Amino acid sequence: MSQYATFNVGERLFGLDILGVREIIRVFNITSVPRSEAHIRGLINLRGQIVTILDLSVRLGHAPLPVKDSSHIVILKHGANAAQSNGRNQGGTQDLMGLLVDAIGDVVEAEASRAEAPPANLTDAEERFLSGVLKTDAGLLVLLNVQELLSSG
Amino acid sequence: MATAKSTMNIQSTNGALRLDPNGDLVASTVRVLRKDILKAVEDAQTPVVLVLTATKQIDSLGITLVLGLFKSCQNKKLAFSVEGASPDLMRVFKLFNLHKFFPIAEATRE
Amino acid sequence: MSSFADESIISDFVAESREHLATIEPDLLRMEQEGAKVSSEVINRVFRAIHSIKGGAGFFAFEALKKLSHAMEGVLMQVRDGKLKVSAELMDVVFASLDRLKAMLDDIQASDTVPYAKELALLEAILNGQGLKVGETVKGHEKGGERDFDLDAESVRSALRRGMNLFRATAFLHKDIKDQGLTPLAFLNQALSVGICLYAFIDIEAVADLEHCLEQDLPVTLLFATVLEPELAALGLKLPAEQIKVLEVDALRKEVKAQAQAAAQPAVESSPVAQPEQPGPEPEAEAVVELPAEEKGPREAAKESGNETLRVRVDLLTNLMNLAGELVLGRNQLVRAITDYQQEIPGLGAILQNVNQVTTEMQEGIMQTRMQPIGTVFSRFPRIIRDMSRQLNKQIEVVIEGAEVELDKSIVEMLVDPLTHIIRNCADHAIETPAERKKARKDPSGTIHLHAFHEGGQINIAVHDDGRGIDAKKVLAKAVAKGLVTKAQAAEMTEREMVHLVFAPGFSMAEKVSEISGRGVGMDVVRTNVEKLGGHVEVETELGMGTTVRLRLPLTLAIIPSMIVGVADHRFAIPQVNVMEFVWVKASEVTQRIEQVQGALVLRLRDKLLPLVRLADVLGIQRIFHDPATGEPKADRRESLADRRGELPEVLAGATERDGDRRTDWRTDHNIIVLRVGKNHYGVIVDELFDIEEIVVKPLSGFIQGTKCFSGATILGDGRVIMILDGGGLASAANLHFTDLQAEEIRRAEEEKAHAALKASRRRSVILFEAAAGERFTVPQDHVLRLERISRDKVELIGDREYIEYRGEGLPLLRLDRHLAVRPLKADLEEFFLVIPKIPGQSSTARPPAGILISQILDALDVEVELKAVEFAGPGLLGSAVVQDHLTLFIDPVSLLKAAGLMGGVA
Repeated sequence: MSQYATFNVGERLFGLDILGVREIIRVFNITSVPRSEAHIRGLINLRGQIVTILDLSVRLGHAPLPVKDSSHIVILKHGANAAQSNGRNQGGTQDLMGLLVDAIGDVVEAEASRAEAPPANLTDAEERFLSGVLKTDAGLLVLLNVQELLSSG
Repeated sequence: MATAKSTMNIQSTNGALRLDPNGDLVASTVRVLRKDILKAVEDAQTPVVLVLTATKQIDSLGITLVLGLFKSCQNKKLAFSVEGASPDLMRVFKLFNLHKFFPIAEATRE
Repeated sequence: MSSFADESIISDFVAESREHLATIEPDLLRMEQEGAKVSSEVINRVFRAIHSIKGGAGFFAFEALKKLSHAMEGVLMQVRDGKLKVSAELMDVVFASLDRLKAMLDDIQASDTVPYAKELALLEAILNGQGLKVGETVKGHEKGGERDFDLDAESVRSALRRGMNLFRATAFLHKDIKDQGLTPLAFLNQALSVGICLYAFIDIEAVADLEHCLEQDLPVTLLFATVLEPELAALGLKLPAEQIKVLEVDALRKEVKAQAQAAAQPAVESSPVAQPEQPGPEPEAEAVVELPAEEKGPREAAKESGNETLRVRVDLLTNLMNLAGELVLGRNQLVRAITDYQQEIPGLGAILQNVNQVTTEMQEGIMQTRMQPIGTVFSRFPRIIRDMSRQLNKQIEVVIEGAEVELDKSIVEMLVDPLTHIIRNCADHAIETPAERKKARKDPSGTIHLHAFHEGGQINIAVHDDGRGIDAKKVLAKAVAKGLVTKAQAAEMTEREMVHLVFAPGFSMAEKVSEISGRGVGMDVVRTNVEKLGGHVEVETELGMGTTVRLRLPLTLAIIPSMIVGVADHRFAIPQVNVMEFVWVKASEVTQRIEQVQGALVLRLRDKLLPLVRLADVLGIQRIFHDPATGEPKADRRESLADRRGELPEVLAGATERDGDRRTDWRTDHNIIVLRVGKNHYGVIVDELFDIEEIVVKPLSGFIQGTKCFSGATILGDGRVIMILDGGGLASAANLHFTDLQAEEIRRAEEEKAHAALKASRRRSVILFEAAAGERFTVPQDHVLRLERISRDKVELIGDREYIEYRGEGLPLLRLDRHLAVRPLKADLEEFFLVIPKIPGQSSTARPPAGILISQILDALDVEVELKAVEFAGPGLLGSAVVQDHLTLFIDPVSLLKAAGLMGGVA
């Protein structure tokens, strides 16, 4: 059995293997990065470390998420290691990444092997970033492909 | 042998000069006390005992006064001791290690 | 003695004591041999050794050890003070005692079982045999010795175990207690609330007698143990910091003894011998500090001799450095948060200062751990050059200097590529072949000299070669051919500027693409890399002699002083190294100082045109303006200036004030930060300027790739994340073209020159005069030889011509009305003035041809006028203009005289 941290973006319920989640925090003071890609929501100060926040909705090809009371940031473990290679993040610190989501759901247990292929009615962007769906008690859980989410481009 | 003023009782008993101030040894009293004590010990030949049964409080000047008295006695080669110190006073004297210079006796509880 | 910590402290003490005993044995032998002549140094050494053993023994409550060493000390003290003669018998006792001490130390826990009564008795006998005076003194010491250990050894140990600091605090009964509204008891209670009072005493010796005591402010000395640091302890005790002294643990035992001695004195009636021995706490404390240092000398040297290094993982250091950075930020936050309370909380300033200093030192220390010698990069070049010279059939030697100069590891790493590029260039292009060098009468072997050195808080790296040098003209020709500069620009360039074209993007000097270098990526990459590091690069060259490339770099990248600027509600940091200056253009000057050139905003700054960018525009931040009425911030909906090239920006046309409302607000003061990018400068318009802060650079996530405007991010003292602006990236994002502006500057300079010339031509120095009443004329001052006053009866008439005698000759007179359409002079004038023109080319002593009659001279002045043609123009009339509110005719006297036929032989 795997455990999944679940969260909402729009109508959909997404899931991430809980082992890949470092922590989940409330949204506060995001500093925007002018002229960066649309899905870069900005930077936050997480206890002295700078975390780059992705707007998951934009990443999936939809409109930017408005920040609501229920909004949270899912901080990922091990960030984007790809960043090391392009020379911008030197000094060997972790390149921390966070996902801006609409609301946080429960932790759900499910058998990873029972994941099915994502449905066919997806946009290109979605197809790239989604790795499958899982039927759970909480509903249909869409699994994210973190590797792809955090790859550049 | 009482003094005119009521700041202090002075008695010569058992071969000792007993100085018994009527109240606290604090800034407001020490100067008068000093005058009286000075007079009392001027010609003293016997050991001097400072009786503090009526003294509840002692402040910096009070301590200085006690030490000055001790010093004066020492100069005259007279023994000096303190008696009837309340637990609080005792604590101050002990904390300052004054009991190493002269005997200090605690007030006997009744 | 059960705890491990105790065991280790005790074993230290035992080891130390054994060392002492081992060292003093030869000294004792010397004492015996040399007797009275033995140097005091030797005796002192022995005395100190025993003294320190005694102190430790007392501290750890080893009774036998303490008593025996105490007695030995007493004897040695007498010897030291010359009160005892060294004799063989004496030394027998001393040696015997020494053996006992050794035995005790051999098994310290069983030390009390070692028999020592005989030795002790002998020692005391020696002491007592020294006469009453000395005996009493020692008795006093004995007593003191007992008092000494009234001090609860267990509580000291426990305090030390709990990591407490030991202080000696001095409180004055009046100043620090009474005047603070405290009773001694309250003071002590207060002290006990922040720590443990191990011992307190009043220096009884200092007390005057009853008569004078009240005028004294007696000091109370506390031996105080607390977890607080000195400043905080001072605060807790409400004492000035200078009255708190930290005690070394070593020092404690001696201190205690000193006080015990002081306390013991009253018990000994008038003992002159003891007087010099009885130090107030102050001097003794000083001595205490020195003693252990001396004792430790050899041991510490031994420790240091193994100047060891430790391999530490870089990420650990990086992490530490980040944490140190955080600490700096935390400190800043703390300082900011509690600054307001500095008044209310006495001593807070001192605490802050301490935190400040420690933080800074720690940060520096951690920084140090990341420093690497530049030699790690330099060392690879000899090999590269060796390989290259073989390939190129050249002889090249590499000389390295300053390899030990240290830089932050990250900088060292990032220097590898630029330096390699420069070195390769040297070998490939700069150094000639041996044949060429011989022809140029140079050593056939060329030299590349690498030199690193500190200068002004920066690191300089110079790469010098003795090769052919850079031909500035060739560089320029190449640059022109490649279209990097226009011909017009080229014409204005200094040699230095030409040479620096090698840093232009796309520039390559290689005649042919060589295998080694010259693939089109060139020095511009070097420049870019060096600038990324916050450094600068320059070239100096002398044709035929060689070239030096100079790199100037910061020591570290991690913490950089930066200026914090604001745009709308955004904040950005600009590294101070990039900031040249700050220009404040007042609202009233905006239209004069800021203008548009070829669609770009420029600021006129000291005759230079400085390209300007609005930070808000470049970064696409919606600007806000403050409503003039309410002062509320509102979005400014005008399109950004950057998108409106070619049109006069409204900010400047603000003078037009088309709808007169908030647009006028755009004509507010402008804050402009002048940045340096390479040799180019440009201005960035920001809304607000804040402080300069030391910021810790955090790399930007590799995930963010859309923008080159930032070099990183940082966290401000208030916890806010802000971006660090990259000068170069910003300039390219704003599409700044510096070369265009150079051309414009040149054009303007020329225009200015022409304008100045024109202006000069308009400027005239004239004599202003009147002929007929109300008719005004001028003649150029430099066309006037002299002005004379004459009376009418001096005028002679010859034919119809008037003359006057002037310097013995007849001077013809000219009346203006005869030649110009002006009114005649009044007939009844008794006096005239005469303008005697100066004929160009004639000496001032030559006879003037004629004089012009006028009625009065009004002024000699400079006028700047544009002459208008006069309808009734006549000969000699230059034109007319308004001078001093009157229409005035400007006359050219020479042509007037010519027209009047008065020039005679002169013309």
